[in-house]
This record gives sequence, structure tokens and C-alpha cells, in this order.
Amino acid sequence: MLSEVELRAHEAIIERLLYSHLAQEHLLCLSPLELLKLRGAIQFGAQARRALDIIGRRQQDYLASLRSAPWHMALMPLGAAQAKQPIGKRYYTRPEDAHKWLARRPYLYVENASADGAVLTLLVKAALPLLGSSSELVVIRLMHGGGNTIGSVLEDNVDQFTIGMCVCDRDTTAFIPPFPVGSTGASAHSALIKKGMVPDGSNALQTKHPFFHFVATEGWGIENTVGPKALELFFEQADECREARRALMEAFPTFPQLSDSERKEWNLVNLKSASQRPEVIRQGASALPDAVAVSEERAEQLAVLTIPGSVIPFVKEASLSGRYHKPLLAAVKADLGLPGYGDSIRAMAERALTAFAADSRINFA
Amino acid sequence: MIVWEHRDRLMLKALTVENYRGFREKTVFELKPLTVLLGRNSSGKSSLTRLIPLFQQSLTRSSASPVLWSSDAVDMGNICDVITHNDDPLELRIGFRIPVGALAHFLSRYQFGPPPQLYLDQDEEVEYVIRLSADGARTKFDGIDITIAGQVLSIGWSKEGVVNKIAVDGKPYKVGDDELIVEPASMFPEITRKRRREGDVRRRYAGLMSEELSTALDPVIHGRTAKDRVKHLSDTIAFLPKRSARTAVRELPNVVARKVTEANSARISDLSFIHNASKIVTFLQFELTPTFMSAAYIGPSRASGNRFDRIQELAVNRLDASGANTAMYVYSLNEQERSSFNDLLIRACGHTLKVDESGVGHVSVKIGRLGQAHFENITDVGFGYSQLVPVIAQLHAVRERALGSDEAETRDVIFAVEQPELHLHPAMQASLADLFVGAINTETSLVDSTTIIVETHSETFISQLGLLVAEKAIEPSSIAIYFVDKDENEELSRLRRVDFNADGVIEEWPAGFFSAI
Repeated sequence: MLSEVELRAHEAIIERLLYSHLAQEHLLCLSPLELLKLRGAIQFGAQARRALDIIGRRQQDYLASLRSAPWHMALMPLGAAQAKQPIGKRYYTRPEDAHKWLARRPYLYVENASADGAVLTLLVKAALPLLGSSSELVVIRLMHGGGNTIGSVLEDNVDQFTIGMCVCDRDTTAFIPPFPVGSTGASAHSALIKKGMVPDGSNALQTKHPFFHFVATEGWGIENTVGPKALELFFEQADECREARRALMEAFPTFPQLSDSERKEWNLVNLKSASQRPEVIRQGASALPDAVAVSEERAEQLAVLTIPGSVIPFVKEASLSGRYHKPLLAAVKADLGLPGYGDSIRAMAERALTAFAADSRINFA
Repeated sequence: MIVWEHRDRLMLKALTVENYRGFREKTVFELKPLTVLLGRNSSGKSSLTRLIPLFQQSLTRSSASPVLWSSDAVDMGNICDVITHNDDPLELRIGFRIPVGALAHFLSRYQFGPPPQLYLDQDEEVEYVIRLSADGARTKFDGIDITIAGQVLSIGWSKEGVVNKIAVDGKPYKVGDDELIVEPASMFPEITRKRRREGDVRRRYAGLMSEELSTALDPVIHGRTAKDRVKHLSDTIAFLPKRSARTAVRELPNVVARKVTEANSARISDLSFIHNASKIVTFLQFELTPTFMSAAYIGPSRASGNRFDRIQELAVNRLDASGANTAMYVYSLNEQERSSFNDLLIRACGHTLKVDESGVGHVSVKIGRLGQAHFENITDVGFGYSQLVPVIAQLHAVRERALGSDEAETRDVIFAVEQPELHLHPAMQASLADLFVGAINTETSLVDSTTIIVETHSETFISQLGLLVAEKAIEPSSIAIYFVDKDENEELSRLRRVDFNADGVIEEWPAGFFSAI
């Protein structure tokens, strides 16, 4: 905790932080003691005072969310020559660098903000309570990549002080990187290398700092990220899609329950296309760390599986409101309990919590 | 020399319940100066808060049952509405815990031999549990359990009040040819020994097991000891906890140390426990009755203020549970009391109150901002004020007004309130935390300590408590925050306690607890 004199020296950056809290860009967490010291040390303006009031009112929630996040950023005293090395979950930054972190709003960069963004937002928010945070303590702003143009979007918006996350379809059953040539993932990856966020020549997706994440879908595409119970809910209301459901049921007789090996197969299927080559599925299965044996016949059966294009719009709409809103939330909650699937969504939610922590309930009343 | 602090704050340290509404499992509700209950609707918060008015009405009103489920303060229906049902109704257990030190002091007044304090840990508590069951819609008082130093005495009786079971740690004991009888209409029933031959009934302070103790002591007492001396010893022996019984028995006069074995000292310990049962229950009655009788409660459904109230010449020392008689209470305050009442009101909302006679036989309650001459009728200001004033009036009453009964005399009072934040802006909700902490930290001429139980849905209230802890206005150890969690599938309520640390942070706080989702 900074002394009163030091706090006064940080007045401008603290006011800026309070403003970014109020603007739902970041979550400024202060313990009651810190809050009291700040109030005593600095005479704030109206907006900053309002932000402090809100932080004071919701401090326990904020601090609980802070504890559940894998990383958080701490402000060092003025004048430090360089930032301290991270300790535990704490990543230090110098006040001189803070304005760079605050310069850009955190965004979730996706190929299609309307479709992918809606699904990912729903899943991340549903998973946050499982981490000890709250779905109301992230604000996810979407940045539309528009397919392969996502590379240019990233180049325009990302630098080494950018906070956010980029999620791309895997578009392959093979290890990534490299992403398939010409894919969205490849475009995003090369842009992030260019901007210094991912080390050049790297074979991993590890970014330069823990507040920006580059994530590829665990399955082939965003369609594979829709949980089986959520998908079953879609089928229940989409009578016209019974053929697609029948095919799924034939391939996965216990659907929407999926065993661990079935889930691995599920992830290998390009659910967007009925013309996937069966050998791609077989190659992917054999390349998995704990390889799954997929026969030719089975691969052929899986290769033709698709899910209707109306699934994602359904999820998007029901995630906001309507008669399927509550059933969808219940289905997603149940999906998150599935081993494997739940783990992968929780991992994504952890990253999102680091990047998008903010109070979505802020108002000026 | 052992000097134990007999009286610090409230003697009642905890309430325990089992098979009480959703609380099927044994649940310990430890009371701190400020005890806060949080939870979703219908999780069981109110069931715990309302134990205070429930015991109060049970002890105030005469009834055929030890617990009066339905009366002015709270209406819980009858025992069938309260007791947890499985396929069959279970046994409802309600308990009270007080520090063992106070009991040891009490027992040492009557005892002979080593004082019980020697063998008890000051931090230990006595637990007294009443066991109830449903007999149709009637409450049947089946018996009591008393636990001291891990030793459990169970006494059960028939519908007619004849003791049919005495056991210590599950081991049964008999009372010769005599009968033990109880009066099961009281939460603290008198237990007496009725001699079959002589037909007499002993006084409540008399021990229950003199003859049996005399027989048990005989093998360890020196052979030349006079019979009268042995009888006196067995009549007046104190409770000797089993874990130290061998040492304690050796300390008794005329005991031959080498004759004292684990087995015979354990039996003497058990018998000493049963022997003192009546005194223990009497002591608990002395301690707990004033605590509950002087307590005050305000429920969540509060009467809105009236433009005029008819003057009644009734003594108003407590408000009713809805605060309907608030105007009469405020009207009854003398100048000094009015001043202390307004001090509380200023702390809560920056306003003061006055009561004007607005016509023959009528008064009106008026409220005004501190320092301003203009007062408005309480019905003409925000509704929140009319909901806040009863809370403050009841808090004032419990601290400033004795109930005028010797039996109810206590300097440590309990104030239980459900949702004090009703209709209040968050800023004023925060002031409630200031108000309650202020009340806990200050004495009045009548009251040394105030224990406040608050059931709330206010996030602001909790956050303000964190700030007050950080400001060192209150010690973290003086606050207990309980989450009441209900498993909807099992219909089971559970209590989960969390605490503030010195910085005012609750480390185990569940993020999003007050969220809509």
C-alpha cells in the first residue's frame, strides 16, 4: 500500500484508473483500507468520487473476483527504473507505463462478432461463477475481424500494451500453429507476430503478457464450441432440423451425453461442412496426445456431420432474452459440468477474466 | 487462584437448531455483537432471526407448551409448521450455549469439594438443548440434553412429566425406587425427586442423586468416615467432568486416592452431572430468561406512518414487531430520551423527529433535517423514513427502556431486525451500518452491551461494515457474517460463516452474491 504522500503523487493516474473503472474498461479493486486512504489523501472530482463510491459498495465482489483471476496488474510507485518481475498472480507495471495500458479499450477479437462473439460471451459469462467470479464482473466488447481481415484489424489495434483476447477457429485437426494456409487463424497469428505480441518463429500461441490472449477453438470451429445440451435445446425447438439431429444421434447414440472419446471425435469434425475428408479426421485422431482410434467407416460417418447454420443465431438470440433464455442458461450450465468440455470453457473464461474484468452493473444513479 | 471473568458481554453465545424448518442438520448460530444473516429468499434467514422473538414470547406468555409458536411477536403456526418432516416428523432440537465459567461460579456456591472451575476450560461452553416433537398440532416436550466439557446428559420424560430416561454419554442411569418429575410447560423445567415412600418432593436446588452418589463414593472413602459426612458430601458434590474425574475425586475429602479408578471415578462423574442437573437448568433459566425477555425485534413488514395517531395511555417500552406503535413510543419519551433517540436518527439519516399534539387526543410525528426549523409530517416525506423510524425506535427502546420487571433485568440486550434497509437509498443503507456499530460500541445508563442480529439483502450495508472494520471502528471479531444456503433439491438449509479481516475484506466472499443472475 502506497503512503499518503505517494498516493498524492499518483493522483492523476489514480483518477484515470477510476475513470476507466467507471467506463467499464477495467476493474479497479481496492480494499476498504485502501479506499479509506485514497479518500483521505486525494480530493477527487465528481466522476472519480462516484467511481470510488461504487468500488466501496461492491468492494467484496471485486476483491473476490480479483482472487479468482489468474493474473492482475498492480501499480508500482513512481520513479521505478523498471517494472518488477511478476510475483504470484501479480503483474507489476510502472505508473509511467500505465497510460499505455489504459490507452486502448480491451476487445475480444473474433472472426464474426455477431456469431462467434455471442457464443463466446455466453459461455465465458456462464463459466465465471465456477471460477469464483461473477458473470456481471466482465464486460466483453467485440471487435469484428471479418474473416481473414482479422489480421489487419489486429495490426491496427494491437500493440505490446494491449489488453484483450483473440479467438480464432482452429480449422484443422492438426496441431496449431501453423494454422492452415489462408485461414483466419493464420492471418491473426502473423499479425500478432508482426506486432510483437507473439514471438516470431514461435510454435506456441503464448502471448507477450498475460493480459492479451490468443486462443484457437478447441474443436474445428465455433460450432464445436456450442455444448451438446445447448445444441439439444436447439433441436428441441427446430423441428425442421430433425434430419441433422438423427445423423448426430446415429453417430453419437448417447447425445447430448458425450463420453470423453466421443468428445474428442466431436472436436475433429468440421461441423460447418458436410464435405470434410474422412482421412483428416483419422489423422487428427491419431495425432492427439492420447490418440483415439477412428476406423475408416467411423471417419466417413463423422465427416458428413453438420449442424444447421441456424444454431448460432438461436444461441445468440436466446442468450439475450426470450422463452429459451433460461433453458439455454440451464443447458450451458449443465454443459459446463461435462468433463473436458467444461474444462476447456473454464480455461477460456479464466483468460477472459484477466482481459475483460470490469463491472457491467455500473450506472450513475 | 483461578479468577474467571464472570460477565463480559451477552451470556448467550450461540443458538443451535436441528430439524428446525430447513435446518435439518444440527446448526450452530454463534452470536457476535453484530451478527448478519445473508441469503436468498426463503433460504432460512428469518427462521433464525425470529428465534429471538419466539423465545421472548414463549417466556413472557403462559402456555401449556415450552415454546409458544404463535403470538404477537411472531406467528410460526404450530410445531407441525416448524418441525422438519421426513416421512415422519423428526425430533426438533433447539439449544442455547453459554460460557461454562458462569455456570461453574453458580455451582460452586452450592458445592462441596474441589471447585468445578479447576476442571473446566474457560473457553468451553455449556449447551442446553430442548427436545420437542409433534403430538398432533401440540408440542410435546420430550426431554433435554446438557453438554458440558464433551459430556452429554440426556433426560427424557413422559407426557405426564415423569422422567423415564436418564443417560450420560448414552449410558443409562436409574433413580432407585423414586421418581424424577418435571414440569414440561417451561423451556427450563424444574426437575425434582419425588420419594415414593415419603411422598415428599425435594426443593429445586436439592441434588437428584444423593443416595446413588453415596453408594458410588462408599468404596473410595476412608472406612472410618462418619456416615453423615459421606451423606453431606454426596448431597453437595459439584459436577466433576469425566475427563478430570479421577483427579477430582481424589481431591474430595476423606477419599483414599489409591481406591480411585477410571471406572469408579467415571461413574461418580456421571452421577455428579445428573445430581446437579436441576441446578444447571435453574441457572440457565436465571441467565437466559432476562436475555430473551428484554430483547427486541422488528420484522420486515413494517407499518407505514399515520398522519395522526390517537394518544393511548399504555406504557410503551417496546414496539411491536411491525412498529405500529412507533408514534406512541416517541411520544412517551422524556426530553433526555428524545435527545438520545434523535442522536440515533441523525446517525442513520441526518434527521430529527418530534411529536406534536395535533388535536384533542391525537399526535402527529414530524421529521426534519438536522439544523432546519421546518418539520414535515412523516406521511409527507419519503416512505423510507417511515420504515426506518421503527427500526431506530426499537433499537432505542431496547437500550433505553427497561421492561420494568425484575425477572427481565439484564444489562446485555439483543436487538433482532429483519431487512432494516427496506425502502432506503444505498447511502442511507450504509448509514445503518454506522448506526448499528455505534450502538454496539456505546453503553447507556441501562445497558452495557447490545447484540444486534440483522437479516439483510443490502450489499451496501456489508461494504460499509468493511469500511468500518478498516477504520477500526469495530473489531473484525465482533462481527459474524452468515450465509444461509439452501439446497433446493434436498430442501436443506445450511449456515456458512465468513469473517472480515483487519483490512475489512471478507476473504471467502462469493463474488456476485448480490447479483441478479
